[in-house]
Amino acid sequence: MAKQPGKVESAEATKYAALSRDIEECRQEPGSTLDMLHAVQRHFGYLEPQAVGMVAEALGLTKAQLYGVATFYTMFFFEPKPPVIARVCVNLSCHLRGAQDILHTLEEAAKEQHDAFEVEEVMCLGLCEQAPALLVNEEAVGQVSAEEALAKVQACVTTISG
Amino acid sequence: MEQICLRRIHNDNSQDIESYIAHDGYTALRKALTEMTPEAVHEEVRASNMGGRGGAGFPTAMKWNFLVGARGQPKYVLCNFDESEPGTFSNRIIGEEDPHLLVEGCLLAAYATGCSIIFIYIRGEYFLAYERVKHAIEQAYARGFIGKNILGTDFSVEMHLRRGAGAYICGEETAIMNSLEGKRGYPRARPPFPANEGLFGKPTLINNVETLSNLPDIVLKGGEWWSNLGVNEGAGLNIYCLSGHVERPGAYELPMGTTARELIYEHGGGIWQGRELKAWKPGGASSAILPADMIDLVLDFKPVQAAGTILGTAGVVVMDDHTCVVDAAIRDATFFEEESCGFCFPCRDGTRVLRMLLERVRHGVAAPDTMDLIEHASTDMMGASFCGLGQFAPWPVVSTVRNFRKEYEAHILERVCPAGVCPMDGAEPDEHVDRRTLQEMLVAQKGGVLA
Repeated sequence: MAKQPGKVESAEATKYAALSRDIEECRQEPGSTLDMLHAVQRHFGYLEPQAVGMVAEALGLTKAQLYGVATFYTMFFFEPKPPVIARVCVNLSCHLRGAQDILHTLEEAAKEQHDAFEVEEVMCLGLCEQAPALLVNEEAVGQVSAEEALAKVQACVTTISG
Repeated sequence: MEQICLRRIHNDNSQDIESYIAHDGYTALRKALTEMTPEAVHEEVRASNMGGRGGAGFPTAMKWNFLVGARGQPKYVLCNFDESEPGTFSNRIIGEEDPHLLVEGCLLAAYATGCSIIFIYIRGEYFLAYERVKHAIEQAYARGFIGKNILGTDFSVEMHLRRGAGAYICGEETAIMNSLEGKRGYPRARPPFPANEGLFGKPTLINNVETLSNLPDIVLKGGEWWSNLGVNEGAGLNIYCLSGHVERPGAYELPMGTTARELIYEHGGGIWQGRELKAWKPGGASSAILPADMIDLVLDFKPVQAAGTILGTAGVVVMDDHTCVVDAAIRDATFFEEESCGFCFPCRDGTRVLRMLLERVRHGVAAPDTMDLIEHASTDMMGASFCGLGQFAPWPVVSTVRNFRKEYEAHILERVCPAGVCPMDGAEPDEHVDRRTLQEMLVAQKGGVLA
């Protein structure tokens, strides 16, 4: 589906405007650096450089300083990502109940589907009583077989790509 | 059975303020603000004998003492909601199902210690809990439980919610302050302690979600009542998080001092699939992996410490007799390697060395003295790491060497994995092994994996 260049530009402009509002709201509040970075990622799907620049300016930091902070944290992305991300916990409680099966199944499927979604191997998600567990974007999914986990991810891909 | 933190979680709309108020919510706040002095609230917490539920078990009332005596304004309450210890999920359940309990607990702590600004720092992966706590704070503001002149008294407080972004180290009490200040989440040197020079350089009380969530009942029913809920000399109730190979994994709020046997067999329904218990952990990744014959251990801070490990967050993980302890240990080792912040070298290098040594054991290519190397690296890390992460990271590994020696001997000397789990394929893992790192870490060793 080809997009009109003008529309893309205005969609981008909307994102920057929305981010500006979020930054304004956050900067009144102490200790909201990470919240501002979360806002960038919410609007752009990753830490888009120009948007990071806006946050840096609001905080009185250089971009290098802000990237120094951002790169410490595993939830921030520095390049565009597929719209669906499956974070699979591989720590002990989930491992004991089949996390590796889920991981392999999802990784294979992602490869076959040319990265329609991304699979991340992550540390404990605090869903241990529901092991094996994963996050499909923001939704917690637990006590599932590898097939059920894949179905959940597929459903999310379908919903988002419309 | 008596329940405190988990009492309301099955109510309809338990996360909503109406439901909370209908079940005695905010009555403790009213009682404290209108009938009790801050000192009287503090006194009840002292009488409760509560040890902090974040993992260290430090006496809560004593921590509060430090705040009361500290100079500087404003004073902060920082609620540590960065729950990331593998096997632990009690804070998440409170945040998702009873966020107002946490809000009320925070307010009581602020009142008792003279703090005027409250921060709740929640881990980034807790999306639902974040939304629920955020909504709860908004509701509490709207109803006048947070803000200026709360309930018509001269007690005023503000409350803010902040999100982390994926870093286990930020649960460490000094790293969490750096993170909240918009820095990399490195730990700070102590002293100065947070109570004197904490968040933004001001006196700061850092308490865990579960610690704070117990405060409303302590205020309503008294510290002594709370204290007496424990068994085997334990104080109060404690949420044990049970996971792994049990029939009924879940969060169990039980008397502090419950034994592992009661937890696993009576409450958790025993080992799944009719199997036998082989190994278990009392308190998250940072605790030792213990053998089945230690199942009668009393799960309280002191008894577990006397047994050589820690209760920590009381995240109990159970392993059945089909489990390989090397395969289990390497999961925890991988976790710590991944989560080491890299600030100090004993942790940064040590977590990597332990994982690499275990990798060799799994593939059947470990040197004969591997167990000695693990002991050696572990001792170095425990003594020389800057913060608790590196000091406790070796425990899941070195404890398996000590408690399951025969199993390691089978892997290392006979090249066999008795449980049939490890690949044992003779493949040399870690082509990128940094030999120099190993050499420096294990300088006192001759030969070993380098031979």
